[in-house]
Amino acid sequence: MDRIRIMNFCGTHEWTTTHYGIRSLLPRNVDMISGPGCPVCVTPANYVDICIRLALEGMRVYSYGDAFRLPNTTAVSNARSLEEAKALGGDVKVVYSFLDAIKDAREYGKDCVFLGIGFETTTPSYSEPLAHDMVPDNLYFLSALRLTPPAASFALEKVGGVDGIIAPGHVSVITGASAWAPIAEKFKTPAVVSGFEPLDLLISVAGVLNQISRGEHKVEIEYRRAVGWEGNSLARASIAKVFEEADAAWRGIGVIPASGLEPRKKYASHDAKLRFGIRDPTKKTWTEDLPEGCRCGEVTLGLIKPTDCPLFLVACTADKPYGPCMVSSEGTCAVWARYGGGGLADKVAAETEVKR
Amino acid sequence: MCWAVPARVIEINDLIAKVDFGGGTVREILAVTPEELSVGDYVLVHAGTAITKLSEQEFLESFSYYRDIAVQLEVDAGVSKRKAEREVDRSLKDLLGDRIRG
Repeated sequence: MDRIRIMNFCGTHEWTTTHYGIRSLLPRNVDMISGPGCPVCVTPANYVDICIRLALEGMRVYSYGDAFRLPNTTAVSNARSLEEAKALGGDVKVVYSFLDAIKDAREYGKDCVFLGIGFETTTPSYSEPLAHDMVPDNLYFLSALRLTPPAASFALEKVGGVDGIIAPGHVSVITGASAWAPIAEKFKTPAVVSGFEPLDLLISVAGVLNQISRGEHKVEIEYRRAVGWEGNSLARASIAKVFEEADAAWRGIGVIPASGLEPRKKYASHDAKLRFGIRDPTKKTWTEDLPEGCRCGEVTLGLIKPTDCPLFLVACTADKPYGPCMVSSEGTCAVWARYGGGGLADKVAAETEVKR
Repeated sequence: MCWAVPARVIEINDLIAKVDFGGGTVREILAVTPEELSVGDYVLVHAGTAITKLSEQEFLESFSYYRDIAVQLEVDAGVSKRKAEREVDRSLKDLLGDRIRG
C-alpha cells in the first residue's frame, strides 16, 4: 500500500488535526482528508436568502453565530448575509441555543423564525422542545438539519480509495457507533469513533492503521468516555418522534438521498417551510448555489484541498470570507487559513527534526 | 459546530438543568440524557443541551482500547508481545494506580 488515506467527517476533528499539526507527526505516506463535517458550510443558499428577506421585512430571525456571517450567492436588498441584514436594520438575533430562542420568542409574541442548522449532535436540542410542546406558536423552525452517514457514504464514493475513517465523536454520542457499521462494511474500511484531543486523534489513527495491517474493517470506539454502540436512546426517540428523513440539498454539492430531516405532519404548525412557502430543490431542479468561482463543494467532499482553490487566501480570507467553508470556524478553509494547513506545521516539524 | 464541552450539574428540574462550565459561567440548558442526572454529575454540553453524562468508569474503560493499540505499536517495533503487554500495563498502572483493573 503506497499511500494510506484516512478521512474525517467532523470540522472539530479537522480543527484538532490542523491546529495541533497532527499531519506533520504522521508517516509521510499517511494522508488525512477532511470530509463533509461542517453543517454551516452545506446550508443551502436559498435558506440564507429567505432569512435575509424575512429579517429585512421586519420578522425576527434567530440564528447561531456560525450562520450569522454565511454568505449568500446574490445579494438580497443589498445584504449578502444575515450580519449585513442586521446592519441594514433587519431583526436578526444570534442565540446560544434553541432554548434561548424559545424564551425570547415567548416574550416577543410576534411571528419569528429559527434557522435550524446542524447534524445529529444538534438535532435533540430542537426535537426535545418540539416533542414536549415547549415551543410557542409564533416560533417557526426552518429545518436545515443534515445527517452525517449518508453524506460520508456519498463522499467516500466520490473520492474513492479511502483506506480508513475517523468517525465523528459527538455525532456518534447521539447515533451510537453502530451508525458507522454499514459504511465500514460497504467500503471495507476500518472506522474509529474519535474524541477531540490531539491524543484522541493520534490514538484513533493508530487504531485505523492497526486494523489496516490486520486486514480488518471494524468499527471501534476510541471516544468511550462519551460514545456507546447504541447512542443516546432518549435523543434518538425524540428525533424519530418529531422528524422524518428526506432527500436534502447540500450547498455546492447537490441533493443527497435521505440525508436531511423535516418535521413530521404533527409538527406542521411550527414548520417554517410550510408557513413561508419555502420549496426545497429536487435532484432535477437543484442548481449550483456557491458564489462564482468558489470550490467549497469539492473542499467539503474531500475532492480537493483548500490550497487547490484559486480564491483561497487571495479573494477569500478569514476576515473577508467569500465562500461558506471560510465562514464557520470549523469550515476546512477557515481552519487551514488560520492554522496554516500542512505548510506551517511541516516547517515546524522539520525544524524540530520530528520527521527526519 | 458539533463542539461540546463538559460542565457540572448544579440544579436539575425535569428537562431543564443548570450547569457550571467553570470560570463563573453558569447556564440553563436542556437535559437530554438517557441516564438520570443528579447534582454534581458531569455532562457534555452542545448548543445548550446536555447530550450525555460523563462517567469515570467509561473514561477508565477507554484505556483498554489505548492498551491494545500501545501493545500493537510495541509489537510492530519488534518487541515480544509478552514484554510489550508487561511494559504497557506498568505505565498504565503508574498513570491510573488502582483505578483500572488488570
